[in-house]
Amino acid sequence: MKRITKQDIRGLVAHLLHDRVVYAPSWAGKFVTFRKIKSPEEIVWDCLVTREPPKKALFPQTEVLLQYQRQPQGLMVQSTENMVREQVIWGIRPCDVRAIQAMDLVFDTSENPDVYYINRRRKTALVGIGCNEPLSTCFCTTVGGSPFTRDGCDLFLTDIGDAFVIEVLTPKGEELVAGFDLAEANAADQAAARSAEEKALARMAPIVQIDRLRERLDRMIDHPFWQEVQATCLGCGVCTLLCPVCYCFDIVDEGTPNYGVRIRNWDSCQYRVYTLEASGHNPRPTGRERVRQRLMHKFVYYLVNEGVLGCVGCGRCVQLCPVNLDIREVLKRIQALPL
Amino acid sequence: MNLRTKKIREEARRLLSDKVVDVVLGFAEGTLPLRAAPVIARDAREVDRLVWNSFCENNLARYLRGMRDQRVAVVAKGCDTRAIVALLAEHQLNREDLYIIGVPCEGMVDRRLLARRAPGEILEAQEESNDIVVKGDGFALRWPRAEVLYPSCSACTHPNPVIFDTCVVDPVKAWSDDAYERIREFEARSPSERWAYFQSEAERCIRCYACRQACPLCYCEECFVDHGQPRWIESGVTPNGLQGWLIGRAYHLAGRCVGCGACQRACPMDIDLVYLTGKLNKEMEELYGFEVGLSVEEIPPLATFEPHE
Repeated sequence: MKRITKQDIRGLVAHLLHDRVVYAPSWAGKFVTFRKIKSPEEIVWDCLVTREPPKKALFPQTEVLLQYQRQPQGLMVQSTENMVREQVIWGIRPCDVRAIQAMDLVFDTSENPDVYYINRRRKTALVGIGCNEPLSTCFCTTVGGSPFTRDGCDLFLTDIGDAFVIEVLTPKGEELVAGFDLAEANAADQAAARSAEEKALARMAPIVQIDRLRERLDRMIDHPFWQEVQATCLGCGVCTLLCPVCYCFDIVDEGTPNYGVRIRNWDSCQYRVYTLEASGHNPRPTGRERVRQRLMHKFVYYLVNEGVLGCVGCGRCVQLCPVNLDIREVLKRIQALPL
Repeated sequence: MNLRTKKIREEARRLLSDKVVDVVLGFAEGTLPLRAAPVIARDAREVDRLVWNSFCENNLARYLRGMRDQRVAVVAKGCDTRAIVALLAEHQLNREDLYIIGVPCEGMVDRRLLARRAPGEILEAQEESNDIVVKGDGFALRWPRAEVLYPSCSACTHPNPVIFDTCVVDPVKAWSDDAYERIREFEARSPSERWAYFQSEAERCIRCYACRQACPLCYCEECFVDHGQPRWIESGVTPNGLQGWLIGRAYHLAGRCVGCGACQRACPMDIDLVYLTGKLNKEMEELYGFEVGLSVEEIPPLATFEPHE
């Protein structure tokens, strides 16, 4: 365990910016979100839940998979899979790290490796930071996380007031701080870090018993609950597009006979056209099936397919749903339903 | 309990127990400070969830097309009723299946503005006479409501229901007598300034379509943006795709937007949307003398044509 002052840590970021792309929480007009920064001064250190998660650093919302161009000698096709620099996601919160781990299980598999994702992922270092004061909308402990989970991070920071305790957790983390003379954290620093963690955890009582949820959901596929709960849902993509875990995409060819791109765009199970088939048939024709799908995927199918939940409790969907359809309330109601 | 809430509940209870309607569409207390949530009350027990406060920011007219198989009582402020009128004029609703509980509106509070002004997370919010009081860890702040309203509410010229079956309180005075003040200010800027502003707003768009979904007048069975054959605009979050979406949507609302601002309030990326539709509404007024959502009988200019045109 090392320590680094709040002044010196800016120097570390500036150093990383020399040869890496750095994403960090910073202001985008009216809100703080993960953006590519040019200077450590842009970093907002105390934003717990950024407006957007950092997933676009690994899985851009619109990504060119290949491009083609007609030339005198024929059609030239170029893949874009190897065009990524080393990058750092700086100041990522434990929930968003868990979300990336959940995405890894989908994109980085031996049967179906997604070269675009994997290429970015291998070149990405994660610098986590613990959440001293979780927000009222945070519920990571309900879904198996904690405001100080270090798993998945290369470096991990704990804010202890005038300095950070910095933990170097992986060889990749060692590379990030190579050449930096970090002081050892003394007993007082370590105690301050422990105390921050304990205080944060004390505010985070789980809101439902998540391990009992799956069994209930398994029996609920035709329950009238879904009809009722979806009644006020607008069917927009806020909860899914701004979810750090949601990874659905659609592949589109755009262009002319002479030039064009194959791209993939994020998609959302909440959209009517997501499941609309060419015949006109739609297996999820109404909000009932679509709202149910989102919950089922996060709390049943993800668990079945990947062994982890598809929700990390960041609370973005809670904060940003235009009609205040609060997933925490939905989970509580499911727990209380007489089945 | 405020007077509007009390009257809404009384009326809702009567309508449900006398079986005048099947359901009452209104607002319930939200799960977060500064929020209310649309709710559908089906029986007298659920009526006690209905509330009215400064956070009833959604336009409930948006749900009515999807509820045409029921008799619905809807709690409606000025802009909600204007949207209902516009939908009636476009033959999208049956007036006889609707019972409109009109609520003269004093404007809705801009929760994001308050969040930006507060030094930490807002954990509690209260209305005290004409003030909004918010509290968090180590702070308490107070503002006059009038200073922290949504831009569309500050510019609202029709806060009173324009159509209703019952109105819960006496009419209120409008905040504004000029819906286009901000549009004129924007028009006065140079083309390059206006373009730069539009670009910087559009680039935040994530194509979640919350604006479309929140809008009572965006009811196309198939939105132009979802068309694959032909594809009208680029599908990605590219400048062309994003700008095409925002402009395309605004044009489809020319002379149809009631200026409620529900799109902008739904937008998770805080994009300024109402100035686009506001500008087109202004054009429609100047060209045709038409202001949407005031008359069920008047045919919207873009829904008809004259033989000589």
